[in-house]
Amino acid sequence: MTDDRLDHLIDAHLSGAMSDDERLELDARLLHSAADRGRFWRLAETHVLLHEGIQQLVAESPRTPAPRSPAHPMRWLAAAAVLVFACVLAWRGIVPKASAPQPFATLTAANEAQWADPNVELALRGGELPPGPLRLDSGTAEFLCADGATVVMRGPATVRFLARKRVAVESGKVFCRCPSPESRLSVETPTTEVVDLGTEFAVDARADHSTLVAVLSGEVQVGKTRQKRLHKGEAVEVRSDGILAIQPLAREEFPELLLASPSVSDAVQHGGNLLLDPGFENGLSEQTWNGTDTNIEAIRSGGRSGGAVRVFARGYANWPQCRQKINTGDIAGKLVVASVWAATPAHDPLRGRQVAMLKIVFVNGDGRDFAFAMRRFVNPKSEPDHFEQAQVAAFAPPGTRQVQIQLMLNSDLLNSGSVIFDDASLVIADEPSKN
Amino acid sequence: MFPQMPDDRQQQVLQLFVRHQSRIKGFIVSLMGDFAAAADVLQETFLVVQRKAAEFEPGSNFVAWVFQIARFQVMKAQAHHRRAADRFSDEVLEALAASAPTEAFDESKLAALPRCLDRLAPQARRMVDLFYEHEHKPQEIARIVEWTPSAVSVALSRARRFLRECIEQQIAEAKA
Repeated sequence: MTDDRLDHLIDAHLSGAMSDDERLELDARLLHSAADRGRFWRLAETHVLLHEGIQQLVAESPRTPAPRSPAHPMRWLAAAAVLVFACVLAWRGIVPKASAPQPFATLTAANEAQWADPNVELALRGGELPPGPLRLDSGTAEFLCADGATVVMRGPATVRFLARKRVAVESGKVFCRCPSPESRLSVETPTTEVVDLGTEFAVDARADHSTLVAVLSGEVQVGKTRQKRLHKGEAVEVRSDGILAIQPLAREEFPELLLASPSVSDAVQHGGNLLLDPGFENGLSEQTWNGTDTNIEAIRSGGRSGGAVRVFARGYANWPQCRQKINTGDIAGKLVVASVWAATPAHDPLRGRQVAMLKIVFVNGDGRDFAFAMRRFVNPKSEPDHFEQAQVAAFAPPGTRQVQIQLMLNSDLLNSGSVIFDDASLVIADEPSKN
Repeated sequence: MFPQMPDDRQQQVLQLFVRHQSRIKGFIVSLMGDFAAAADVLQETFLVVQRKAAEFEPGSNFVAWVFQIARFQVMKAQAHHRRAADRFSDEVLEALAASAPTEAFDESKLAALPRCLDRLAPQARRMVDLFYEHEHKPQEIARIVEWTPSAVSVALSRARRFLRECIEQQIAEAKA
């Protein structure tokens, strides 16, 4: 005779979807009943067989297997050599360890980011940090570290967040900004190590196993055994033989990395705000602001001044949002900068569980979305009812005819919670100077 | 630093580990409910087994010995879980490890699986593929298919029950 309740509890455990109460109930039953433990192993066997069997079928299938997370280096029933190799890698600290309880860093912005593994992109966009290396094929991606540092990757680049204050750049260009003493980072490359001493700096881990480090402000310490301090305006090339060659910073080395950062400075903005009713004073309409109808409402008060728009998760929608589309014509190569203010209401019971997202979407002549840049903000540390401004910038790709600004709520799939947006802007800037 | 080359005992234990790795990984996966974390714990378990190879008594139950090591590695990996709901208590892990079957998987069950998978309804098959092939968590699947996470969990539970019954039926028919 089966025990449906016990089966439900075991299934919830195997699916990784248990509530606290269910866990307590299952723990108590398994602790006190040998029969229940037997049932657990019987149901778990199906779970394990399914995983093993499907992985085998995929491995034997002639079709190209879908990309999987690099956190799973070993295939089921792998050959002994593979196992030993993986273990040697683990010994050397190359294979990622188990997932950390809290993400060391969170993706806050992306600009035409193409990730090597779509699963990684899915996790990052959901606010998670998947274990293992993050391989960005092209575009830029900006991360906010747990202690406040910003790390911007420019593809192609491979980066791994090792700890709250440790980042490994396996290849490619990375820009780091450490705004406070507690946010200071240590950046490792295959050749050297860079310890931040309060600064903005860029690292390029090159294919020839050399590393270029350039300091834009403040100073850093470079080197594993022989260490040098680098100051603002200096760059150093560290070769695989450990030789450090300090040189004046060549400004051409990193401008594209800095300019393509989604945090591009206000200084590059010159144009006027293209949005209609940017302060949400006239409600919602097809001509101005609209979106996922069941998830947005115009509010007369509660904004920074007067009206605002509230985006909420009630009635479950994948990405609750308010948006406005602007006809731009051909603006290929021009910098598009969007900004908005947002806050979570103090009385919101889910405050801290949700984040706001600002997204620029590029639309081609056929009306199709074909590129985007986005930023997450209003994080759990944000003060309630306190408006924060976010900005995202991207160069319009060839083919752009329209630009849409999207103000979104990421509610962590919960069916409640809200974010209030106000005072949005969308600006097409002149092409920034490279100097 | 590279590990030292294994001596004879280590080599013997290594071979045993490889021979039983399906069962060992199944044990870890069952306790953790997280394929990615389980793969990492399997690696850590292997390293500990290699270091402790001299402590293994030939002739005793190798799998049971490894299960005890794996249990501690599971506890270590889960020590910092934010939610208690995401992990078994240490006492339960101990009780489960002591009762875990140590014999190898029944290959006939594995052989029956493809036919049973083909009998799943398309939506259920999609859930199973997203969970077991692509190793997405229910919340990620919910985003992809635009369901609620609880609906995904229910679908997975039903699919597992269907497949369990189908596999048992297949084996019974084969014996008959």
